[in-house]
Amino acid sequence: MEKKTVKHMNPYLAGFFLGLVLLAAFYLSGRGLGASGALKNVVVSIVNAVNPEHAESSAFYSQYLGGEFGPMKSWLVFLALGVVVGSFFSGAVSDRLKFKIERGPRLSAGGRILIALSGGVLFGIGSQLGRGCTSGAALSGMAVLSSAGFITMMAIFGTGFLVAYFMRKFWI
Amino acid sequence: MGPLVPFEIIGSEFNYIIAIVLGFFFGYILEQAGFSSSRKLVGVFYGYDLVVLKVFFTAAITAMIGIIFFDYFGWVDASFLYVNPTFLWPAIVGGAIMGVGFLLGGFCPGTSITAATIGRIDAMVFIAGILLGVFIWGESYPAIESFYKSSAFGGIKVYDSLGISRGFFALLLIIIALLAFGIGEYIEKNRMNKLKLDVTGNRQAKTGMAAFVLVALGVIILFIPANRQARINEISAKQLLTELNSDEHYITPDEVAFRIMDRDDEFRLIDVRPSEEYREFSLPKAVNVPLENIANRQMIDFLNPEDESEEMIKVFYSNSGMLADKAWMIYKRLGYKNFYVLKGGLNNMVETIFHYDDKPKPVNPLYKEALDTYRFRKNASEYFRGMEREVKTGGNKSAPKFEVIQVEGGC
Repeated sequence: MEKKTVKHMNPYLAGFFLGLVLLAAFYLSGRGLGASGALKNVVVSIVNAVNPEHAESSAFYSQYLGGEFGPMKSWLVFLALGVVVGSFFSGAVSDRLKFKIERGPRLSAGGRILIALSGGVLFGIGSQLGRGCTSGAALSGMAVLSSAGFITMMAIFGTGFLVAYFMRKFWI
Repeated sequence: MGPLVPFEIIGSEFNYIIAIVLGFFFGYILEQAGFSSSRKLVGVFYGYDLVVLKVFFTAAITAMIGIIFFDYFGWVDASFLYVNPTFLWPAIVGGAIMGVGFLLGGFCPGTSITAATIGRIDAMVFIAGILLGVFIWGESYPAIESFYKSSAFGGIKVYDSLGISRGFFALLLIIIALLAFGIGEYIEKNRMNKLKLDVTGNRQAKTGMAAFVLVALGVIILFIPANRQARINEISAKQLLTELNSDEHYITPDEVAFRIMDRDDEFRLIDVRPSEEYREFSLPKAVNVPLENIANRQMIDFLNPEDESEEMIKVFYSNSGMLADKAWMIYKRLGYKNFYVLKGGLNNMVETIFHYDDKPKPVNPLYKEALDTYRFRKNASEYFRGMEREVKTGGNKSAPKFEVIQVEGGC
């Protein structure tokens, strides 16, 4: 049943290791892991570069502009850089480095790009409204037993199950 | 004691290096677990691949158990860990939007970075979508800001919300996770056969041993006190009330004046008023710790150094004494000793000592005690007038400005 690519890690073991990384993040830096924050800082930097006045006057962008090095010198941006390096390393050792569009059997490549883009837009908006994404709000929040962590997790996956039926032709 | 960077045990300049190293393992594990594949990720919603459920739940439980034990052994002060604040409706609506985004995009932000790195073009497009989405959010922020900040509950804990103990919740979560894993394995097998799919990686047998260990840990957690302060010498509310009513924690303006003039080394004054008032007028050598910072962990350590003399007298004061009483009660309740309150506060101090020279000398020399008091207060009054500048500025001895440790949140 296995294909040529190297097998994936046992999910429970992967979860255990991921939990240890999360624990280390809390032990060392006092915070959890996250991903959407780095992307937000990218957007803030771009807006600030293109139109600094607009960024300064905006109640949203301006709150991330402080500091002499700007929004890109943030913990989450460095974390994301680490994710890139770690993922590339993993992809290399497991022989999965390859340009491709992964899609369901009934979906065209163009269709896959279209839903990926719209999914990204929704995640961009939702992660701002929900103050974090699956890793930052839900996973890290659950680790410290915050109510927000569990609420966000249930909202993401609950809605996912609700809409999964309508989107089945995208995936299966 | 951790967290190491906020406590400056590790310099904050290393924080970025730590971030890169943590990110490396984060990315490596996500990719190794197969999270770079959108079809594996959404598999959880169709039952053919539950890798998301397994990794996500295991990671959350591992970290949760780890933090509880680290806290218990005193390796980390859990009150300094970032707890993402709960904004009920924004979290629900935001989560729902993300849920739809997950089913359309096939990724969440972290996994999309992983997948894009190893060359998944759909993931790169997904990231572009996120950037666009954040931009849309940023542009429409003024319109949605009030909703974004609505139904705020602060950094509440889920077990408090549910009205159960932390230990019970942790045990419950572990049991739910183990049940979910068991049911998940069963569903996965059935769905995979039905769909004739082979997208999953390995599926190793769950070990009863691991489950047993988890439940055992959960049972132990059940008996770990959730509140660290429960383990230190906290006094009971009843005892606190008795001590408060006994007035033994009050120190008179005369004694304070005497100790200031005597330049007593084992004597500290703590001004708990807001810093604007402190800057306007304060007692010599008083440090300013506004009441709202009094329970700050670093402030507690600052006011209770380990090498402090047993004889140390530490006096809280405020204008009337009300704020000082509150500060005293907080510290008393936490079990700290040697704290007192200036009776009647600064008002009393000014009345009794500073303005004393307005009062007439007692006429009857038989009242020796009255005369002694008169002489002392008269002297003190002159003494303090002589150092008026120092009184005004408090000798410029402000408490160290602790940056309120604000560990910023996840994404």
